[in-house]
Amino acid sequence: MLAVGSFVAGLPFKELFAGHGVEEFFRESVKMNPHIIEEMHHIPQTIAFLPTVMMVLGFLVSYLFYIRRPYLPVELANTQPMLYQFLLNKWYFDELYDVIFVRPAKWLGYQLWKKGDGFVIDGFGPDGVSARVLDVTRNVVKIQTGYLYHYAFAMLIGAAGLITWFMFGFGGQ
Amino acid sequence: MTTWPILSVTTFLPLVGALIVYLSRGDDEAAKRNSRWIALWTTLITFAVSVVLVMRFDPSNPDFQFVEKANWLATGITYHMGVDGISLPLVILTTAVMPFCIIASWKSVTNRVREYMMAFLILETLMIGTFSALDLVLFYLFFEGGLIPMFLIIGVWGGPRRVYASFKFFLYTLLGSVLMLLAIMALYWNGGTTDIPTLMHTAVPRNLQTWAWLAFFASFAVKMPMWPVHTWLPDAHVEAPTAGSVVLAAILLKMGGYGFLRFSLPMFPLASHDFAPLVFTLSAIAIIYTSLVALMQEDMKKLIAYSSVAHMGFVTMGIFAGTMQGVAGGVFQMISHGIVSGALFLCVGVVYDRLHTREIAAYGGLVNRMPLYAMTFMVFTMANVGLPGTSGFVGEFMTLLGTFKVSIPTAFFASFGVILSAGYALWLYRKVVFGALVKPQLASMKDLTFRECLTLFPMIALTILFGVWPKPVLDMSAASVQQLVNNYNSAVTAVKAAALLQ
Amino acid sequence: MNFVIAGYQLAPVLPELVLAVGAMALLMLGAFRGQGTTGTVTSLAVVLLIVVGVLVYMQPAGKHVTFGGSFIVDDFARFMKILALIGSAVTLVLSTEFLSDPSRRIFEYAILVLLSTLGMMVLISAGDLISLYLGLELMSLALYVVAASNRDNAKSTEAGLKYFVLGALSSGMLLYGASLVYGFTGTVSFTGIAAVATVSNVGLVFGLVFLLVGLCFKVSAVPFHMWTPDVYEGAPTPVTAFFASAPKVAALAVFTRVTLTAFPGIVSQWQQILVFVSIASMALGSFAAIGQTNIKRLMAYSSIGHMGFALVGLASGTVEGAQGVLMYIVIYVAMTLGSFAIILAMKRNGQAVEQISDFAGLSRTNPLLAFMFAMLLFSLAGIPPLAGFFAKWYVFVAAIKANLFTLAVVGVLTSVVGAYYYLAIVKTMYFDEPAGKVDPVRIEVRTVLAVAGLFNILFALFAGPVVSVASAAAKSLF
Repeated sequence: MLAVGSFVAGLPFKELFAGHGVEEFFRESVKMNPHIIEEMHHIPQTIAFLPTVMMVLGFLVSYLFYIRRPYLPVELANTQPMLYQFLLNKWYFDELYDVIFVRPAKWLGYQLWKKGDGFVIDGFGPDGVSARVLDVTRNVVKIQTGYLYHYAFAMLIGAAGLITWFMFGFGGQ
Repeated sequence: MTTWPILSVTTFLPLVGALIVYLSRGDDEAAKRNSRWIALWTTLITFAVSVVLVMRFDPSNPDFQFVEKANWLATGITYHMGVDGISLPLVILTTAVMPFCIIASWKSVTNRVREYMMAFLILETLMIGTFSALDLVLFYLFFEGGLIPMFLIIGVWGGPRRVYASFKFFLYTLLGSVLMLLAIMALYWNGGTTDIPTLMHTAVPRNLQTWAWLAFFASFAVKMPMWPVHTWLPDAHVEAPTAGSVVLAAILLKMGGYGFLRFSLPMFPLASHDFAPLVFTLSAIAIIYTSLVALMQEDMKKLIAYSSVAHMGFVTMGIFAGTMQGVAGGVFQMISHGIVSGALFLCVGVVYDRLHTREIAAYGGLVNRMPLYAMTFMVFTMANVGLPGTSGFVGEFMTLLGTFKVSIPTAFFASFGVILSAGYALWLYRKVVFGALVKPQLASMKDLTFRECLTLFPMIALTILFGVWPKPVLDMSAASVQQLVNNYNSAVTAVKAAALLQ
Repeated sequence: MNFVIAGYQLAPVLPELVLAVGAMALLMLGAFRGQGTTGTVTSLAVVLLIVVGVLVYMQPAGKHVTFGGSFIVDDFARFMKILALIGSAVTLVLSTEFLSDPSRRIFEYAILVLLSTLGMMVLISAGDLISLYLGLELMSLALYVVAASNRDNAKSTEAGLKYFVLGALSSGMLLYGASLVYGFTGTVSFTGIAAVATVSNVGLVFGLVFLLVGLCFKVSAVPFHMWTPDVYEGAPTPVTAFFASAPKVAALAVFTRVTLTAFPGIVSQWQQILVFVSIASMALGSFAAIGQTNIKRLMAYSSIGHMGFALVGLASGTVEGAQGVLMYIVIYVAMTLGSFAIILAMKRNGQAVEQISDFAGLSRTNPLLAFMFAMLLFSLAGIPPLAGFFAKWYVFVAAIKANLFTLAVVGVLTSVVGAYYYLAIVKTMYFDEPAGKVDPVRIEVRTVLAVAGLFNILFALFAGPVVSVASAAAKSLF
């Protein structure tokens, strides 16, 4: 009975995925025919009913199996062990799905998050820039030694620099 | 038609409310309650006034309405306000979301309530002002001014990493905006005015268009946010208090999209046309990239934040498609995302208030204890995925359709994002709501309170209403969008024709 | 009124005469009645400054020249003088507490401020190199002394000495430049120089460079800023407030007048100097301020940065640029006086506290003070809708018109860096845990703070009139 429970628990999740898949499929197909814009408001509604129809079907089957003839699933499972295992694991569909799509997507997502966002974008973007700013700050603050002759020297260097700039004609005469 | 400056009243009413909150001194329980009620009433009255705007709005007129003009700084820089079909929905969105924010903070904010309410009310004024300003300087004033209250909201009432998040938010956005400021100045000298309607009909030299477009883009892309300048958003969202996240997601992000519609397309049509491939590429990357990243998040708010980036990718894509469906879809998607993402953050806030963690792993099986909550969360998750029948579908579908006409690869890649969004949204929903209720700390969780229902149920109604009947929003914006698209296309074709002749 | 002495009209210099005579009368009062009169002398000095301000305001409109062109009174001069007088008067008001301490009863303080202000007024009205130098020295000599007015404090004395030595060096350079300019043009009057200096030659440019170096020192522009942090930190706080406000007004005014009226023919030459100096000032002001822990030192770097921004306007060399400088300095003075009022208000158990960490949690212990300071800081960072934004708007809009794009871009980028340290103070006040209660704030500090704060917050409402006055003043230079 526990096994049957797990079968039921898997249902809602699977149905959601299926329902969404249908909708997605529809969308792809619509894009191939962009001229049917006029009809676009009608079609989604009908397609939207599909999950509902599926749900009603599922409900009927469940009703049959669990409430009307509770012995039926057990019998079925005992007579057809292979099929039962196959069905119990939802045709191993989840595992297949997991390997082909979910794991690579998750791996990619993780990489993009930690390496892409965390390392590249933030590292060279805000965090990196602010770290460089602080480096500059540390060095700039060191200039301010407190010694009078350093200050006077800075002034003279500044004046001399400006003079040199004009003397060699960089300023354009 | 109007005898009183209805738009200015809408804009500055919250400010008056903030003043009243300020004047109600004291720090005891009674004072806190007072400031909550004052804030709530202010936002409700503001909303009521903005409803008057809707009723008096003429949707067949593509130009600005409720225009107010007064002298301000100098010739060419005036106090000029007005709304059209593109900005009015956003104004209404702002006034409509604010009361929910106040109610959502009713119990969860207990320290410095007075300042909190004032910050929110001031923020509301600045946001409404951003959408209704018709002068570039005035716009910039409101646009940037919003940084101050938001900085304080994140920093004072935020989570553990609030300092980092608030600084990142502030400086990131400021950096983008100062470049826009320079572009505004250049436009000022080019046109002799900063009046937006005038500038929309002022020819801008090709060279200036390019630079100004880039400068405006720098600002709006950060605000939107677009990949790769989106990294402030997850941090800001995670650390902000619930209502702060709601405002951020529902309204502040829309400023970027609004900016593209108000400035980039009408004022720099040629540059927009030239850069459209860039925007398409960034949007497509954003949609796939952030959806993949969202798939791996352990924090609920961060997940929704990344999904916001992806959804905003649809908006930019639709806007720069420059087609009727694309732009109208962009506007609709902004409104829809405003409602849906705001509501999702409210949903996160509901469980956060009870358990004080946003770790997805800390939850599971909530459906057993909180059926109402499970139902509510389900609606918004579906809307986030873009299930037909919810408002999320209409916007995504229209933008995809609009883009398909212009760039098939972009639309193709973007639709991958839809699959991924289903992946992360349903994954989040399943982890939090379904499964067995095994964690002992969850056993005592209470279902939605009356106050929470009050915030969430109207949003459910809107989500489904706009999902099956998007007409009100689309009609309101149709005339303005049509004019925008016509002007854009005629400017682009004129240049193409000129190029052919040579 | 028609006073004439030796053929020269005296009406234009009436406010200066009143100030000079008044200062001497107060000096007599103090000298004969002793240090007990400090309070009276200070109050009377404030009254005197207000009277002089009214006299300046009542001067007839238009341009008046006297002393053979050495002394010019135009809209620009009146604007700057009133601003300088406000700066001096407010700092005297802020000094009352400092002077009330029995060990610091020095009536000369107010007299020195008055004389320094007199120097500023002469400087602002200077029409030739001689009156420029006279005004500059009168202003500076008084400043050297007030910097060291806290005689028992080693830091204060050090500040006075450093300022004096470096100031003397800069005066020497300025004088050298002035004599070069005189040598190559044959005249000291600005209009005369402008008539001759239409094409640049190396000698004239050398003179110009040295002249501008001297002026750069006074506005503390990089690399002639080195005195600023030490003097700001060492001098008593009211004195620092004074240094940061009125003398900057005067120095910037003469800077504007010299460049625009004496050297309009060689704009491209001095424009290069100004572009360099303003970029260096903005960058250094922003970067170095981040590393500071002392609020006065931070304000020093902040003022270096702000002078860089003001020079951006001047660098454009146009009417818009001059207007930008005027707008900038008005708003800068308001922001600076407000900020120093807050620094003066920060006392714990009668002791002034100056570390940034002392501001921790101020928003809990004194919300109003924290709010005002936060608004001033946002304004200093140039965030709209506060006054500081408009200041930046007007200087950058001038730079954009003059096609100084690099300067404008660098300027706004450094303003973002600068925003960081202003934000850091806001963070300390709002996000951190309180560091103890602050003493009640004195009434005069509160008044100054309220006026400066409201000016700053509500500036957007009355920006229009200010802009038109500044625009008229800027036009009077051309």
